[in-house]
Amino acid sequence: MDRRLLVVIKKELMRVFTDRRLVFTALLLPGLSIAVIYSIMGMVIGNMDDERAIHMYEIETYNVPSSYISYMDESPYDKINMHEMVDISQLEESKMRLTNESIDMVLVFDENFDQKMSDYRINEIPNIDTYFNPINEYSQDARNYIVNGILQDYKVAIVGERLGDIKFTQVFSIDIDNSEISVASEEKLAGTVISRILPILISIFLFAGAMGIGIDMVAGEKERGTMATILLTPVKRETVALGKLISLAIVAIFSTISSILGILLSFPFSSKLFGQGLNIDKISFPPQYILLLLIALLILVGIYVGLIILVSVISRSVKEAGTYISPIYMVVLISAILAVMGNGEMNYMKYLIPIYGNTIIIQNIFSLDINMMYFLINSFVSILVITGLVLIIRKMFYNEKFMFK
Amino acid sequence: MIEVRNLTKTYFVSKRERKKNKMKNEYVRAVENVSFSVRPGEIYALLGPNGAGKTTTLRCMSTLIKPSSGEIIIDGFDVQNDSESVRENISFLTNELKLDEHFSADYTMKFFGGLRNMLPEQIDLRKNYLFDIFGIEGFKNKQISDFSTGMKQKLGIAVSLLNDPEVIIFDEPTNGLDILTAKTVTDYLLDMKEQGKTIIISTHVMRVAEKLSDRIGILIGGHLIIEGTLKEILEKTETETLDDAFFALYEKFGDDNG
Repeated sequence: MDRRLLVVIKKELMRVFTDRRLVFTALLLPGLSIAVIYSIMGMVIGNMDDERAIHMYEIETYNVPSSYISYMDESPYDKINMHEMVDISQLEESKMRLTNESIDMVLVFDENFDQKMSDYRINEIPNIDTYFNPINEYSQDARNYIVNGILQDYKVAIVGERLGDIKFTQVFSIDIDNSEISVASEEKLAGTVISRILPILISIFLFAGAMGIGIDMVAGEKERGTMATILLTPVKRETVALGKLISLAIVAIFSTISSILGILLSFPFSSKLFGQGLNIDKISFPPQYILLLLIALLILVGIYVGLIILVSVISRSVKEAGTYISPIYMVVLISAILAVMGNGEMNYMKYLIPIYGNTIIIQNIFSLDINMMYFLINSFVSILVITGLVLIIRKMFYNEKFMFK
Repeated sequence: MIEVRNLTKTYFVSKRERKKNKMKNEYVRAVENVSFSVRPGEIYALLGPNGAGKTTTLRCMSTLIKPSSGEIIIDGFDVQNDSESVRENISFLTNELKLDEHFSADYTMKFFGGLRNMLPEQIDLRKNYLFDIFGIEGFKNKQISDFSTGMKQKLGIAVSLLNDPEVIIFDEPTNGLDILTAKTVTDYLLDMKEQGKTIIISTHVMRVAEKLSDRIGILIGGHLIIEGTLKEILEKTETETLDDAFFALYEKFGDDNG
């Protein structure tokens, strides 16, 4: 390797790693803030789940039939505080209380509900009106608990009574002796959960970690007048450009490691944030997948670093570079989200799209479900893109319009 | 040895800049058909008002920008075809060039020495010599951001002279320097001349040109109007001082070329 290239890389890395402010903002802060934010979010969501699990639903019930009271006395549903309402003219006030979130649901049984059931006429079956507040999560839960749980079982109990034995209502069972409902291994399940989260985060962290420092690497040096001093030495301009690209890639990787460490640190508190299927102990990554992941990450770093340095070269100041980089950051965000939200259908076309295709490849690797042909197609296209970016940057380094004020 | 032959440099002016500066033409000709040469052991001063084309000429010589036409040969190397060899052999200094203030003077010298492919022992030797001349030794481990303006300028000069170049190109060498630093710089330039170096400076200060240079070229409106020793210029313009000669020439050519 050219000794001067090492000199440039060493200088760029020293610029970052010996500047306490940059070390804090570019390397420590992302990890720390992610650890803190995710932990807080995880704890808040966990507390909300716990509260929802023990919450007693306050239900105002009109025209309560005696069969319902008897059913509730014997049923296993114990999360209900039923308030019997006698005067139907108070229904509007009940709805107000529902809106104010002081109760969770209102049930209105038809008058003479039991009589109408026992008189059974096909077109005159009795009705229950339900009212809930979709803005209130407890109210949503209450409706689900009552309509899909209590009232369904109440209906089955009444049918059982009509047929003479509750057993006659049982038509079939589901999974009564089946202990292997899921055919996916726990490792693959954990990988699938991880593959929905990490590709987005890695893609965004890589770009965000390189963005701040990268736009300063060339635009900042031009603005401060230090770039011309370097270009007056006999060093080839592509050596300076390549040195900046490589050192920015190293910084981006360190910043991403910091962010991922932040996520890992937050796991004891944030597991609920990532979904129920995530079992960290079960994550297992075969060596060949680690190798593929490293290649995919290096390729993605190459694209991001190339784009950031290109913006930095075009811009006359850090401020101008900041303006240009924002839309690219948006593209990175949207690509990462779209890639992970995709339907998983294998189609080589999407692997041809830089960033989007790269994120899908990383997702495939995490879910241990990679097609080597698509991996090679994506790698080939990405390397072409990186080569194109490097050649444009090199050309611009020789262009006085871009390099000097 | 520096040879400049028919140097012309035009700049493209963007629509925004044309509107801002109320200009009509898309291109501005900064220098036109400028030719001169500087010999080893000689200090040549390019004299002219602001905007005359002095800095553009020196920037073309230093390979920072490319000539639109013409040729510049420095120590046998063409600035356009062999720019790296040119940069191996020159020192170019201007106030517009800055150093990264995050680093120490010591590391800065090591960094630029590395870029010049110098061995660590060579860098140390040269660094100690230059730090001694410019009085930087006591501050070598301090961050440049803690330096005074004069000290920063002295370090900038030391960095540019690190490779002990055969050709020295200084744009306004004493501009903005305090009296003591300016004297250190001018003394050093005279010393370099004695050592046989080829030196070109640009200045708009007559006294600097008179004191330092063996020959003077006067640029007005991008054209080299006259060149020669001080005596020759005074004889040609029939004046008694460089100031008078310059103003006489400016009166004659300033409006046509400016």
